[in-house]
Amino acid sequence: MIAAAPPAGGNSVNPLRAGLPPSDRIDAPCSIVFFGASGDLFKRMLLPAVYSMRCNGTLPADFALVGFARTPYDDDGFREYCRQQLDEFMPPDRKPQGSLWDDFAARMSYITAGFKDSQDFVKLKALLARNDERFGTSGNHLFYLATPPAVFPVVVGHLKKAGLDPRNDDRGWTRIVVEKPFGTDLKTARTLQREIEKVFSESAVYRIDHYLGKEPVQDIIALRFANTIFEPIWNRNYVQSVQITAAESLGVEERGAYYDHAGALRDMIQNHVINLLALVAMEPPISSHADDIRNEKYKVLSAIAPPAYDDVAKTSARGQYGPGTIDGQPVKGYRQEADVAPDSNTETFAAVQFCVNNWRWSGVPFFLRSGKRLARKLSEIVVTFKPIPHRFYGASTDDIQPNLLVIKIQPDEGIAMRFEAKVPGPKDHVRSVYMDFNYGSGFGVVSPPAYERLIGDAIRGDATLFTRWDAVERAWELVTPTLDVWKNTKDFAFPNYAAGSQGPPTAPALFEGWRRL
Amino acid sequence: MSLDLQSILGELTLRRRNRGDVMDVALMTLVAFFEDAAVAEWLRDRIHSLAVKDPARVIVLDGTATHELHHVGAACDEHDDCLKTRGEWIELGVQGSDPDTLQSAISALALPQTPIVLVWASGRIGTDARFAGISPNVRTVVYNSSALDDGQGGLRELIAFVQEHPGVSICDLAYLRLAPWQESIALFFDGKNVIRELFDLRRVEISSGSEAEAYYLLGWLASRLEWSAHCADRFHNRFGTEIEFTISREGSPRRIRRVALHSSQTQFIAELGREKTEVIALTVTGAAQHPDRCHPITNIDTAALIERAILTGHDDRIFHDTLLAARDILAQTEKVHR
Repeated sequence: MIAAAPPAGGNSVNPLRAGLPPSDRIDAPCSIVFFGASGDLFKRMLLPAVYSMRCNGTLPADFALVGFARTPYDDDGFREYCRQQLDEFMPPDRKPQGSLWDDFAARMSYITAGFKDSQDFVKLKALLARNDERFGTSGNHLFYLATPPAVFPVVVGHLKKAGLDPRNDDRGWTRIVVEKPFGTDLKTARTLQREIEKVFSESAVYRIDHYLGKEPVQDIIALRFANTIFEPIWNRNYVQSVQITAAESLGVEERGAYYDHAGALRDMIQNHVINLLALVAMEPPISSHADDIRNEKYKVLSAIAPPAYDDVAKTSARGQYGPGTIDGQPVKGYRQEADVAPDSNTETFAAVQFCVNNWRWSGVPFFLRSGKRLARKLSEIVVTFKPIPHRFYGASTDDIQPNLLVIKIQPDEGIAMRFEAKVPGPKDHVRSVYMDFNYGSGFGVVSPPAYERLIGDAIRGDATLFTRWDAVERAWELVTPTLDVWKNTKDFAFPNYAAGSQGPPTAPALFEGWRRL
Repeated sequence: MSLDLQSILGELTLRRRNRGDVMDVALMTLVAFFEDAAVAEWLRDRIHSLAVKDPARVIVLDGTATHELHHVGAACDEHDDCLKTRGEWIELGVQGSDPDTLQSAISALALPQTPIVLVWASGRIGTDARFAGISPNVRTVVYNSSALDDGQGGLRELIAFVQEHPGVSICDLAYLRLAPWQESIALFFDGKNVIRELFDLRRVEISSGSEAEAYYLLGWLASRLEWSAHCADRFHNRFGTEIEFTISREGSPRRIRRVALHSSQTQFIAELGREKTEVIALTVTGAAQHPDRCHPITNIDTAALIERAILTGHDDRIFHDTLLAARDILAQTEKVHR
């Protein structure tokens, strides 16, 4: 039995908590403020994630949600807007109804505000103080920047002026979640960081990359460090190459204006794909503590040298889709998309090669590619092992393939292993076979959406799955030479791949072994 | 009597070789035993739900059927308009089988590389030689003290068995079912301004559809707060202060309906929501008043509870302490009945 005694002084250990069955509920009460609460990201991703957490019992019992955006609503109007969005975006068993919804709705409020008027932030401060009284939110504030990136520094500056910056006292914590993109290049990222760090220390900044909230991405750590069989061969002695793919069959949809200034290298490689590389290549952390993992991620990114400007052509490939066919339907070319310049030089496909210059990975190339309007949606990491050193088995016509380990991220989630097996019969033929583990069949559960996990972690104060500034900066440094060269040299071959194809013909020149999409 | 295990093993091999509907992942061998026809359908349904979620080789030991019954099939899941194998399903009639026969059947049919989980849906475990024979050889035993009896009988059986067989890893669904209530009650006392109330509690009222859950909840509070059962309706805390308790039978079987905790100055009430039962409404009035809250009740269906028992039920020290405290409370009530 544990000792149960009236607490002396400041001791506030709750003996009923000791040994309770593991609960997903987050202890810390808090108010969550969504800047940009009338936007697409909020209604499609953030609001459903928060309400789902409420239904799961994950959200703190003492919480409040504040919407802050330009679209005019009063509190009831915002509640009704949210109810309609949840009706549309939640599954049938999670529709907003009953006492759970009533409680959730009662805790919502809204401030109609532009982001320039400091008085709106004074109102926000008063509202948060009222929430502490009404809902027991204990002075804990999570600010979520779901606005266009240009507004990030404006909001941060106003938070400080209104006295909503972190107080560093016992009246509660203040954290800020910053959506990607974190800057549009190295220079703007550094500028944004300077503005943020005037107000928030690094430990209070949660730079979100929703890819890191996906279960298979987190499983990379489990695969590597909760098994003994992989780590001994996870190095240059056994690994031939690593390829990381984030392919989409969708085009730019309604994001033409944004995308035409971004491109695939900025939009995907600089953040999602480089983060995957870091998880695959990092050294074993000494613990699962956020900074131990993030230290290792930064170290491995530091071991990658950005390409010299003269080498960009040799270490990268770019492409832009033209008209084509996907799923039997004709689709437009990129330059015909809405809000895209008809002579756009923006890449919709990017492939780069990196080398990790350390003891473990010296000489092993890492190939990264991402693109839109490719043959299918597919995100995966493929570790190709070295060929057998001496061949004595199998018929001479047998094509003995190297082993592959495939970490499937989406749409399938799981792990597959390719190895050679004897074909039954009197002859010694060998063929490649796959062992294929899928989360769906292995655990029979649907992985929770990434935003649920990440918002929960931000409230908990667990930054493991968020990107630290040093890693963001390093990722920008790695892609900057390629961005510069591509910006300054027009590719007259654009469009150079048909929508629905495997990508541009320049990609195989970089790496012949790309897995077929 | 003996069981025809060889033909079952032969059928399993044939299925694996020829039909291509074998499972590709297995997390456990799940053995379910029952001998009351009234629970057969219910148990099969719950085990099936679990096997769909956590692929397993399921061995149903049907104590209502003779040894002629055996069947090998698959626990299937409808997926994209086709049936996908999620596990193997073996049914065996074991009416009248002795402990050794049952044990040998489990040994022969269990997947070699997976843990064995036994779901025992039958009463009288305190005196059942079959249960005593099988349970030490499995990784986890899942029992439900309020399944067949909404009074104290099932819980008393479990307490007697655990005293006799301390090495068996056993979980009780009646206890696991309390998780949202434990969470809600703990939530009342989070925070330095309210923690003192916990040590000033004077009265506990529990309304429940079955007694096992109520005694577990009392036992949990008593073990956490070092209360000792003083008589049939009183605890003493370590300073000798009396804490009165009452249990009233109210609401659906196997469900807690309301818990009220009274300190000298504050009332803490957790009760099922008005129109729906999936929410616990939390009210605190008095000196330590707090805004009303609610906590959703999730994952308390039998399949989810069994899954939790498998994942977290081993050597649960808190459960063990709770069981001992419940034993002491029941011993006091027994004195009164005598």
